[in-house]
Amino acid sequence: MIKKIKKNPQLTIGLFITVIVIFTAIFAPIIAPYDPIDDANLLNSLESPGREFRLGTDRQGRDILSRIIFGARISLSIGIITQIINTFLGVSLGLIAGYAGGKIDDLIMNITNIMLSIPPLILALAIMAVLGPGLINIFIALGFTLWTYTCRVTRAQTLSIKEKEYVSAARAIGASNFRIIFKHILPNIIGPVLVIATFGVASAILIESSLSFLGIGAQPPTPSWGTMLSNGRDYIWTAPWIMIYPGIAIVMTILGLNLMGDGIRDYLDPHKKG
Amino acid sequence: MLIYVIRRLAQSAAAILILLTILFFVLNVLPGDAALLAGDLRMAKNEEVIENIRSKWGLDKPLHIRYLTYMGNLLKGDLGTSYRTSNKVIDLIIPKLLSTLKIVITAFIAAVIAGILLGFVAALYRGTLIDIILMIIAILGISMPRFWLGLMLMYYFAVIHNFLPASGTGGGSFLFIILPALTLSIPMIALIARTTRSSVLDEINHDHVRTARAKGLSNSTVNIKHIFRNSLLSIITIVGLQLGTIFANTVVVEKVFAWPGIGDLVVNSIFKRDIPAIQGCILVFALCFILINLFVDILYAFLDPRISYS
Repeated sequence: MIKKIKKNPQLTIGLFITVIVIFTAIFAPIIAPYDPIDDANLLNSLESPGREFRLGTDRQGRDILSRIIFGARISLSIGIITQIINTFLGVSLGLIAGYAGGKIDDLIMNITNIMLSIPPLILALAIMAVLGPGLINIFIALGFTLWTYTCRVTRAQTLSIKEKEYVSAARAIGASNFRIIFKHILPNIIGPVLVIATFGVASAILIESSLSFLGIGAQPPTPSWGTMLSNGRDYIWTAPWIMIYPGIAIVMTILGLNLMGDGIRDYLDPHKKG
Repeated sequence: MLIYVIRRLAQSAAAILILLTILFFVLNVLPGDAALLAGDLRMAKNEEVIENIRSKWGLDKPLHIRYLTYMGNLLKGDLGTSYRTSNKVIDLIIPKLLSTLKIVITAFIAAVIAGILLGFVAALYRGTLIDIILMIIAILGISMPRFWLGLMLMYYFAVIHNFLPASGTGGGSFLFIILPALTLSIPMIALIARTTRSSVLDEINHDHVRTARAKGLSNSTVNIKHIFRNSLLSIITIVGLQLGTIFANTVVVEKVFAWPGIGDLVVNSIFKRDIPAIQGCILVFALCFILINLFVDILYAFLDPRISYS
């Protein structure tokens, strides 16, 4: 298996970057030189990158590096938690639709198609318009908007697996629906669902940073990458480091996740390697 | 074919109807009294003022009556009246939409030309340094949040080199369109280039291409007539999907460049809780997305007669 991973540079690089981001998030209090919120000191306001503050400071005199490190916690928790909700919703609904068929299938697929007919950012925006700004509301907005692809794929896979001979055989020897779903169908859809979930974490992080950038996501002083960039826009002439470095953090995180998603897909399906 | 189009239209209409219904009820039921939000909060301490505002916007009527009125007006093309500016929402939206279209169309044309060209070049020179560099740029372009890309472009072109204006519209000067349009188009170029590359690569090894080369056709004839034309279908899928989401992305790009478009309008309306304006903007976004996807689906049928829409 390790040999196979080595042959797949995308997966290796993607995994490497993602692991770094995860470790940064977990050990943030140990790695970060300063506190991201409390170590504000107006005497250090808009300090350019140097020995004391590696990546400079913002207007309130807070260390940019420390805020980026703590920002990894917010981005990752949003990405992962919302994707767990989405995957759970998508897989359950997809399984029900594919397995039950008939009217239930029609109902679920109609809802899915309606959701798919609106871009996720706009949908999230509409939900945020209702709930109001705030980090908790982002969890709700993103937890219930990105499940549609998972649902579609799960349903399609369920439909084709349901007709396979081993499922008929299992049914013939008296296996219950529950057993068929968990023993025969679910193991076969884990692969594609995992790929979608990896990309989903990336898009959740991107949408969160966009919403925070617009000012309707995480509110100051929370060290969210999007909020930091939003502040940075005002200082583009005088203190460009405020908006350069949090952006690099986002790009690296998304790049890592996208490469990992591509890599997992190739790993699971060697034929498609291009 | 006609039946297919009609069915798709009906589906799209249903999708929009359901979206608007959910949005209407949720926005109007959830937190706070719309009259308080509609009026200025300082004035709203006075009961009489609140009552006036309520009856002015019809907020004293039961919810289902308001819903029916809203839907009825919508059919007549009336999106309601903004709580904040007392203008018709449609009059607010149209100039903003036109202003957004300026950057969207520029970005789209640039993205299609550059994306297809780069992808094609990468595929023809596959495995070489050109290919590798192009594809690394492509994956970076996809992973970059658009607002940060916009900020970096602004920093490079406006702050450091000072040869493009940083933000605003400049009274319609084309120079002001360049940066926002570039920001919108770079991620699209990346995606289109990737798709073009892989679909051209799929096509390049087919027998008919080898035959064409064997019978002595010139390189450019084979490239254009045999390879490019056949790989067009999957390119159009991606281009179509992208054009749909490009409108959604204007929301962040307009904020970066202080461009007064519909994305800017929806964000401001959310802050001010201007419910009719929010509903109107989201309707426009959904409509654009759905219509473009419909158009792409129909385009398929013309390009690929093998697809049947029964």
